[in-house]
Amino acid sequence: MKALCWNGVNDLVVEQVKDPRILNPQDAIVKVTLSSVCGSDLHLLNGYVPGMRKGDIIGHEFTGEVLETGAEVRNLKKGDRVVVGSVIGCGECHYCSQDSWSLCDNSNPHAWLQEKVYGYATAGIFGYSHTFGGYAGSHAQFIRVPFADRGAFKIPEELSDEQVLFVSDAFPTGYMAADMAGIKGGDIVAVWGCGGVGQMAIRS
Amino acid sequence: MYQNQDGLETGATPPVGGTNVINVGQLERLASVGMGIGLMSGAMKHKGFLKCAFLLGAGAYMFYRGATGNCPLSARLDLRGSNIQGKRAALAEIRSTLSINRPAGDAYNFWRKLDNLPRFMKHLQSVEKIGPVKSRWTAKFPGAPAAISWDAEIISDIPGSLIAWQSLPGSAVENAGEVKFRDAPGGQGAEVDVILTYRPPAGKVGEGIAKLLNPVLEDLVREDIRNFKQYIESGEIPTIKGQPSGRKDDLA
Repeated sequence: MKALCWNGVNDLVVEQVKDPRILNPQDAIVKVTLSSVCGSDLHLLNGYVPGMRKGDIIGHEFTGEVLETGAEVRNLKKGDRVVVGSVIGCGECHYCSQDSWSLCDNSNPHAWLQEKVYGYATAGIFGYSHTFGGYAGSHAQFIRVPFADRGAFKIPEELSDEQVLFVSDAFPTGYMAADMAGIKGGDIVAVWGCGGVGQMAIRS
Repeated sequence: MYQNQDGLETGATPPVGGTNVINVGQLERLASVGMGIGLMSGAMKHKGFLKCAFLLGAGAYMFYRGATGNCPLSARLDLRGSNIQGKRAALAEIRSTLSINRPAGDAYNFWRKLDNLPRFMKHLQSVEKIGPVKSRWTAKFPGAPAAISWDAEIISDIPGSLIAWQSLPGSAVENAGEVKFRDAPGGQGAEVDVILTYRPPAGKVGEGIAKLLNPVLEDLVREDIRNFKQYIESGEIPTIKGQPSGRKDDLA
């Protein structure tokens, strides 16, 4: 398949790489239909995120179609249209059960590495450096989605891929900001930074 | 039953370097407490941060070993060595505590079924039951030319809360371990304490090389324990091994 690989600071290249395959029983393989460029892809491009390796496939905000599911995937089947959260959560650890999915204890294969940097490890993230698990990202034709029952959401028939794409990352990021700020009807508020996430905060 | 280093039978205490092991003599303990207090109060008089921190640390350590009678350093250097003739590689000790989002009983049951261990201990190839308390362990360590095997027995088993084991005399890898399980407060899963001690193979490898090896083995064991949590909580161990990349070996 074709994939967008990070080769160094300000150096991206499209390579012909191997197709992803099921590695764990709760994996699904998804054919990517849309993959958007997030502001945080720029952090990778500019070299601000530690743990990038030459050849890493980036991208973490995407929709797709399920091609194959692992033995333990229950809620998805071939052909399902899905939008996938950029953060990977197991759904079973303490943090996931508190709905703090981005702190998942069980989705980052390089937790030991991140502990050395941050003291405690976070969840894995698609295409976001080996510090965050080293998972191959979505700027590719196909992607492997671990814990697919937890992170891949079926797209309702009446909605297009484009309408739900930002549910993957930018929308919940903006929504969470608005939610945490405790905004009520009639409040006058200022949104700092009206990029993608700021727009989502405004619409939340 | 087994014996501590003074030759006394100690009942359910496993011969591993836990904090409940008393390996410092009475007089030495008193002296340690005194020195510890002296060092710590001396530290307060120093303005230099590093010197102050060092004295505080050393003082606290002396105080600890005196107050508890447990000296991790002595244990590390020579846990049971005083009873054993001949020169041997130092025992290495690894400890880890982690929280698991499962009841203590479930965690105990999974660990107690020893053939589950290779599921999360990646250098273990198999654990085979050869008697009511005895088992044969086979492992392949990174860099080692071939798999090695040893026999072990469970020396303490408290259902739902503790498993301790020890390799049988003459094992290629002399090791002992203790795992404690207890329910965490507030119904928040369990806390698991793991203490492993092992004596690296001596002979050709030599003690010098063993010292270099120990940190590597420590990291391996810590990962094993993390993998235990991951496996029993989520049903799998996260991996990226085998996924595509733009690196030379992975190109189509």
